[in-house]
Amino acid sequence: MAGNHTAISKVSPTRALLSHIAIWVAVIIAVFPISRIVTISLRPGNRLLSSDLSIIPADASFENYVRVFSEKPFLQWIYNSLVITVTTSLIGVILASTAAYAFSRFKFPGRKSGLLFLMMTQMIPAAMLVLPIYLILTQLNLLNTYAGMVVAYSVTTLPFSIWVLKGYFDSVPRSLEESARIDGCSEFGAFYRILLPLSTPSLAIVFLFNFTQAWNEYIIASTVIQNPGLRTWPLGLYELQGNYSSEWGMFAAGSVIISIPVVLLFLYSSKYMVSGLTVGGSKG
Amino acid sequence: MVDFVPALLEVLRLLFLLSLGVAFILAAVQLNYAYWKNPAYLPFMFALGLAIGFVLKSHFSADWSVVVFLGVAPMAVSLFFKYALKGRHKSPMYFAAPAVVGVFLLFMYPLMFELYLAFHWLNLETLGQWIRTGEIEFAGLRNFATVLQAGTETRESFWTITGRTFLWTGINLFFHLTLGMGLAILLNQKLRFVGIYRTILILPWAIPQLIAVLAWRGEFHSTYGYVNNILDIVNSLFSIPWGDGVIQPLTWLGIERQAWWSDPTALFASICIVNIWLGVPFMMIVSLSALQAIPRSYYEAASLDGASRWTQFRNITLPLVKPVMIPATILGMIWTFNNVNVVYLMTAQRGGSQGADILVSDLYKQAFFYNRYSFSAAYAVVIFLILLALTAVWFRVSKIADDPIK
Repeated sequence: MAGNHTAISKVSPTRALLSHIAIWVAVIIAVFPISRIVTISLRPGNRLLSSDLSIIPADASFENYVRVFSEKPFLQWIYNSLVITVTTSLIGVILASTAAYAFSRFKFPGRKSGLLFLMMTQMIPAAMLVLPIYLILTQLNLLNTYAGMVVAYSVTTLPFSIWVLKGYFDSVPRSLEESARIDGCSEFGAFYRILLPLSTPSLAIVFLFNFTQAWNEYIIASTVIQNPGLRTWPLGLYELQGNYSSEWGMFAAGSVIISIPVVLLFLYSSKYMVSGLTVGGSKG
Repeated sequence: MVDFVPALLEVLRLLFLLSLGVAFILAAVQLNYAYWKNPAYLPFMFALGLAIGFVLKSHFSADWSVVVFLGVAPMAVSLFFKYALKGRHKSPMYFAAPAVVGVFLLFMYPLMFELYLAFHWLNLETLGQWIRTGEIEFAGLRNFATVLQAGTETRESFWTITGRTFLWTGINLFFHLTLGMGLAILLNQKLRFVGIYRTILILPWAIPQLIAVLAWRGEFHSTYGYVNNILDIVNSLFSIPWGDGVIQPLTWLGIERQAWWSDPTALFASICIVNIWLGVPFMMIVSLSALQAIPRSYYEAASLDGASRWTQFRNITLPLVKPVMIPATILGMIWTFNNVNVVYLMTAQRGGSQGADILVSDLYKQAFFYNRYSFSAAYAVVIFLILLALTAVWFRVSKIADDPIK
């Protein structure tokens, strides 16, 4: 681990043992609820409601996995989610990086109030914006469209992305862009050819952040989307768990399938994500 | 099978609207730069604002909020270009305008509209009329009065919920911080498997929240959920014969089988448990990265001087961790205060107020379960004022003024 050289060096055996025990308790608390989802997904349909606590049930079967694909439009939900998520994330990264460039590299009237405004938007809960957005979309006849959904998403994620990217751009030395400008590069060229390639990791983080936000969003989607053909996976899974007793197993199976790639992606990127959050939040 | 068309059509429509919007904003910047020196510029933009307002009101019978908002926009823009920019700062304007103007419009307009609703009567009965004619009756401050009134059958009193929201924020933040910091300190030692432990402990944060919360909710089922069953197992494993009866350790401590779904206090407790479980990993990772940034030599020097571990923690760790932890704590506070997801998903299937709602989740239910649109708008304005006070704290602490360009 990268941080080991700064860790406190000598750990006495008793202390080590106690630490291991304490961590193990935390590990069990963290993992057990998740392992239960796997357990339930493996239970055959006639045994869904059971107080059995074994991790892999004795009569394990993949019945629920087959059923969620065959009886429910599960692939359709995933496809819809993917389409909307990729689009919003790409739009988010493009708009956020240009704005962050302006805020990081230029001094102009309204800069500080602009940054303050962007930060202020973070204080407003999405629940507060849902009602007016819902009513406006009703009036404009835009309910059941992704356009309305994306509007609601980007209001909350764009400002945050701008802050995070601005934090990264601030840490990239300006001399490179300046020399490119002297060599005859345009302002946009300096941004597009010099700064953006240097900030690929941070762009990836912002993309991931936007991606997870849109991928997991339920509240806004549930008010705006009613057309079954446009449902995203959170709406679908919520429905399955809605009539709990009967569809519990399919819910669990669907959850496992959706979680695996997301969790892997997250574990891979979480370290960078945190540094992004703290850079954006503390250094401004 | 999968129908690829509807979602793609939606995306095309979205891209079309978006490029229209961006093109409009960029063209507006361009035109303003071209004409700001013209003596007719200001009068023209003001006339344009009035004309927009007039057309919206007479031909589209738009709400006053739209009329004022879109009518004032050209006037404000022209003043900004004429007196603040004066033809300078071209490139940052082009770079920033699409995102900032977009967010500003998409954010301020709903807020203005919410304010408008708060002073009018809009509910299911008047909704049809409003969509057809754009007109609703003026209500004055009566919606606000209702918000602050004593509770009814479908609505708890505002003060109860506010109190619960602060309790909720306090409880969650306390456990997130102490457990997160504690785990980080444990993981910041030279132990075997530390990397694996850390990866596993992040899992509650990594798993999609909707899935985690819905799964937890199922497990709080009074008969089939594991929560009650584990309580039973612990009780029977560690029961101690005492006199005539048996003492069961958890029951003795006051922790018993609960009807988690129906008892309001138990429901609130269960939501807290779920949210603590979800939020600890974030604080753990943030504190861990702060701890790892502290040079080991500080501790070595301190122990040479005979400082105890507790003294080292208080005088080295805490002060050095503070600059990272304070922004993270405030961020966590705002997230917890605004956490509609967890509370809503844990309580939604049992309809409206069940004695476990916090402000934002109650707001959401009032709007979409009971369709009290205007009431919810007034409610939202009140919550907004509370949040504004919290925001003031945020700005004071996060020192937004420390900025590389000054």
